Formats: sequence, C-alpha cells, structure tokens
Amino acid sequence: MKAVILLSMKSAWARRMTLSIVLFSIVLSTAVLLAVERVRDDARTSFMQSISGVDLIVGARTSPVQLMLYSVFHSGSATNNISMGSYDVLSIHPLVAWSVPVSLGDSHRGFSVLGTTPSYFSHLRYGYQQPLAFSVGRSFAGSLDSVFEAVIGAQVAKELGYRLGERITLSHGMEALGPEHSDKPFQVTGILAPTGTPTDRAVLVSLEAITAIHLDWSGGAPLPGLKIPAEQVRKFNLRPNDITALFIGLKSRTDVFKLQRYIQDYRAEPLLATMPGVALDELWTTISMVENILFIISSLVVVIGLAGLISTLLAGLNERRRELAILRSVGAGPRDIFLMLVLEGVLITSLGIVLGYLLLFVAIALLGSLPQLMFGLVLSQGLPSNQEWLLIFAIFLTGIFSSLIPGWRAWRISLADGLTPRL
Amino acid sequence: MAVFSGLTIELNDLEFRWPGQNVHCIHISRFTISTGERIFLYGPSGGGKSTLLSLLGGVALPQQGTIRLLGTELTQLSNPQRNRFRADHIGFIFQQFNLIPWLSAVDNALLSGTFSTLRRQRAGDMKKQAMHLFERLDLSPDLWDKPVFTLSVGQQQRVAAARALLGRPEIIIADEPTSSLDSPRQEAFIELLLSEASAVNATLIFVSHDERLAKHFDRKVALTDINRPLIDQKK
Repeated sequence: MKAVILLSMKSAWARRMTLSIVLFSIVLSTAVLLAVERVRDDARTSFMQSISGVDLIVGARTSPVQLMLYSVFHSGSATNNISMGSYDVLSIHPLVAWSVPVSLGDSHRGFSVLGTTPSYFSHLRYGYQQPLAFSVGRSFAGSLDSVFEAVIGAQVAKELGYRLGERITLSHGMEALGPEHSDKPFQVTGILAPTGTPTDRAVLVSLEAITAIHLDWSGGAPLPGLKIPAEQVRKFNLRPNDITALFIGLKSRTDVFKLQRYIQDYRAEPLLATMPGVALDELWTTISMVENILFIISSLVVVIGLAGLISTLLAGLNERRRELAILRSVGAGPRDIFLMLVLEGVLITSLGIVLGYLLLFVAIALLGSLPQLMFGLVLSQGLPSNQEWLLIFAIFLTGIFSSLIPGWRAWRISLADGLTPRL
Repeated sequence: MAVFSGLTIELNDLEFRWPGQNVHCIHISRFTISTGERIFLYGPSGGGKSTLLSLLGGVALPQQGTIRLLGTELTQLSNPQRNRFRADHIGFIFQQFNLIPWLSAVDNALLSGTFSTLRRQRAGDMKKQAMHLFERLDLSPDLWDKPVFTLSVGQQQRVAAARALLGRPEIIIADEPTSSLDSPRQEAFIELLLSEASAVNATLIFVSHDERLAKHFDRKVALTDINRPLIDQKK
C-alpha cells in the first residue's frame, strides 16, 4: 500500500506538466465554490446583525421589505413619510419604552445622510446587542445652538479621510453630484467605531439640521431669490413636519404584536410596523435566490474541474500501458494498478482543495477590502466553517468517485494486457 | 502444496485459448525444466510464446491442465497469491521499453522489491545489491541516478536484467531481450545474463526467434515441438 502510494506520487510528479493544468482548474473551482459560500455566510451574518435591539420599525404603509431596505439599509427611498402627529402619538404610547425617529433623503459624496436624535446612539444596537460606540468625538448636540454638527460612520471617515472638525456639505438627494446645500456646512463632531452595518456608511445629523438645510428649498431645488444664511436658521421653527421612519423599543417585548396591531389599525395615517427579524428574513429569502444560483453554478464549475481530471487521467492511460505491464511483471495485481490510478486522482483532488483554500485565503487577504468598500461586507478569514468543511468533504468525495473511473479503466487494461501491452 | 520435485517448472496437459477464440493457442501435454537449467526457447512470432509466458507468470489461467512452479500449483492459487508468487520468484526481462520512464535506473531496479517482501529480505540492502548488480553488469555509476530515457537501449536492457536478478528469484524469464541490440552486444548481454543467473543459481528461460543464439544455452527447445495448437471440436 505504502509502495503504491509512493509510486502513484512519483508517477503524478512525472506528468506534472499535464496534471498541473487540471490541478489548476480544481484549485480555481474549489476557491470559487468556497468563496461563494463564504460570501453567502458572511453576507447573511452581517445582514441579520445589521440591526438589533429594535422591536418595531414604523414607516408609511409599504411592504416590510421595502421599509427595511430604506430605513435600515438606506437603499431606495421612501414613497411616503410619517407625519409628526403620528410620531408624537406613538412616542408616548404606554407600551413604548423609547423611540428614535429617522429622516433620510440627503447624501454626502454618495454616503446617505441620516437625520435623527442623539438617542439614536444610545438605543440602536447591532450584532448581538452591541451598542454603537464612538471611536473619537461625541454625538451631534441636537440643540438649536449647534445645529450644523455631524457624526460620521467608520467607513465614511476611512474612505474620505475625515477627521474631527472637518467641515462638510451635504447634497440633496442620493446622487453624488446632486445640488449642494453648500451654504450650510457641517462640522464633524464624532466618528463611530466600525460595526459592519450600514451605519458605517452613514452621515448622522440632527432632525433639526435636516429641516434647516431645506428651509430655503422647495420641491427638491433651492427657492430662487430666497437665501437664509446659516446663522439665522435658529430663528425658524426647525421641528420637522415629517420623518421617514421610526425605530421603537418596547417596555416588554411580549407586547410587540399588540402594538403592531395598534399601528396597523391607526386611523389618522396608513402606517406599517414590522419586526426587524421578520423583515430581514423575508428580505434575505429574496436575495438568497441569487446566491443559490451562484452556488449551483460554482458547484457545476467544480464538477467540470473533476471531469477534466477524469479525462486527463483516462487520456494518459493509453501511453502508460507499457508502464502498467512492467508493474504487473514485478508483481503488481490489477488491484494495485486500480489503486494507483485512484490514488493519483485523489492526490490531485486533495492538493487542489488545499491550494484552493489557500487561494481563497490569499484572495480575501489581498482583495477583501473591495467588497467592504463596495457593499460594506466584511469577509471573515480563518479556519473552514462547518458548512465549508461539508463542501470540502463533498468535493473530496466527488474526487474519489471521479478517480474510480480511470482506476477501473486501468484495472481493465492491466487484466487484458497482462505482461504484453497491446499497442 | 506438493513436495518440490527438483523440477522448477512442470507443465501437464496444458490447454489455453483466449476468450472468444476457438483455437487453443497453447496445448502442451508435458514440459519440464529442471532447477538451474538454462533453456533456449524459440519459435516464430505468433506461436504462443507470449501466451506461455503469461501462463508461467500467473497472469493468465489455463482452461485445462496444471502449471507447477517450484512445487507450487499456480492454478490452485488465488489472484493475489499468484501476483505475490510472481513477485517473489520470477524475474522478467522484456524485448524493449523494460523501464518505467519516470524512475531513475536504480529505482527501476528496486521495483522488484516493491511487491515482494521475500526479495527484499533476500537482498538484504536492496539499494546496495542493486548497485552491486549494476557494477557486475558493467553499468557505470554516473548512469545510476539518471532518468532512464537518457540511457542507450543496451544500457536499459542491463538495468532490466539487474531488476530481474535483484533479490535472487528462482526463475528468470527473458522474452527476446536482445532483439533490439546489435550482434556483438547481443553476445555480451547473453554472457552477462548467463553468468549472473548462474551466480544466483536461477533457472533461466530465454525466449527468442533467433536460433543462432541457442549455442549459449544448456538446452534448446522449439515451441512448435512442445506446443500443438488445437481447433476446439466442441465449438
């Protein structure tokens, strides 16, 4: 057995030029399959952990997924807002422990601007109930004296190179080159620690600030002839007329359905209340379709790689008939020959898996910042997860089964040829 | 297992035909070779020489008859036992391309120990024995670790002879080992092979279609004399 292993290794090494090509395809396909799995897993985790500690999200009536998308992921825009009247009623509802309003719609160089209150930082959680933390600075004051203060997410600070005290201007709408609120610059007072959630890519200001920069605007454009300088905004009533969404925490979580029903039946305005977990699940089911297709395609790539292995080993067999006859003459049985070929296939598959995993490791180390920059997705690095072990095992098993084919063929050849190869 | 009769090879009522053919290409009523004998077996190509060697090597099994080697009845052994028997007791040298291209000359010689514990034990230090044989077969040391395709045909055949002799098997079967060599080299190779076979007291079967080489051997046997192919009447 040991001798046969050694022989098949030497034989494989001798044909390394041919085999390295099929090895390469197995390495690549393994890396692709594992990468898809890694992205899937990490995306799901970071997705599911993007908000926690919130019992209900309230918005204008739409679909729960839609509400989730714009209020938590700052993606897309709200079709309708919630009036301040509804906010007032809900925020003092006896079941409600706290409520945090958010107002969206502006941006800063592609990052979304979130109008809220300083309580956002104390109530909103991410991951496993982790609170938001400042890496430097403090919350925006939220008072009339210092309206134009902003807190920026970790990714915003990193990408734009901002520090405390930086003066930034916001743009109207989500386009990076939209009309600017350049007359009313903000000062950065705090930078949040990284969370791996959409908050990393947000600029947070007070609700009043959102109102203030729109004082002299109407219908998405500056009002011609009207200019209200920044110093004078405090003379105006800066309380907004409406907000985009409301995050609610309950005194007792068991009341969540009671309050949800109350909000759904709310007469003054059509509202929607959704539990983040439920909406996240629903949203994920939509997204995971794409990931399932990716998974199927990458599985097929592995199958193609292994098919290449079979055909390479089979093609090589005819040239190796003499070699097999020599081994037979020194006492190898057809079983040894079979084993030798199977081992060769298993060896290449194993090596392909190991190198594929290493390739993934290196690729994440070198290019892992790309998905983080583009989607805020942090790819984890480390030993294979259970699911990945399962995939690795599946590739390995398929590799063994594939190797049985050339093994079987070699067994047939060595039986038919005996000591005299028919060429 | 029967008692060793002093006959190294004993064939009785041997009948063999390839599957799907109705001609028995081997039909030998009786043929024996004594221990230590050096036999020259000749016959035209297609006369069943290769088939006979396959039968002796235990790679093919006869439909009828017995093949007794060193007192062991090959037809009574299981497949793995026959493979083991071949590994332990028979050294083969073929016409050409005897060597595995991806092994060095020494590693090719060492192959005879790969599947045989007995031959490894007999040789003691396999590598040392292989080098010793190489020296006796006049292979210069700078060739030993070279890839075999850099060796000349004559050198390759001597490596193959070393492999066949290593671990002192009782039987050496050489199937046209000199047909790719020129005349003077043929003589030299045969002399080397004979003296080395005698040194380990091996029984040698030398197969060739070239009768001129017969003079070196103890006994000359024409395959056509012992083998009388039959048309199968039943078919």
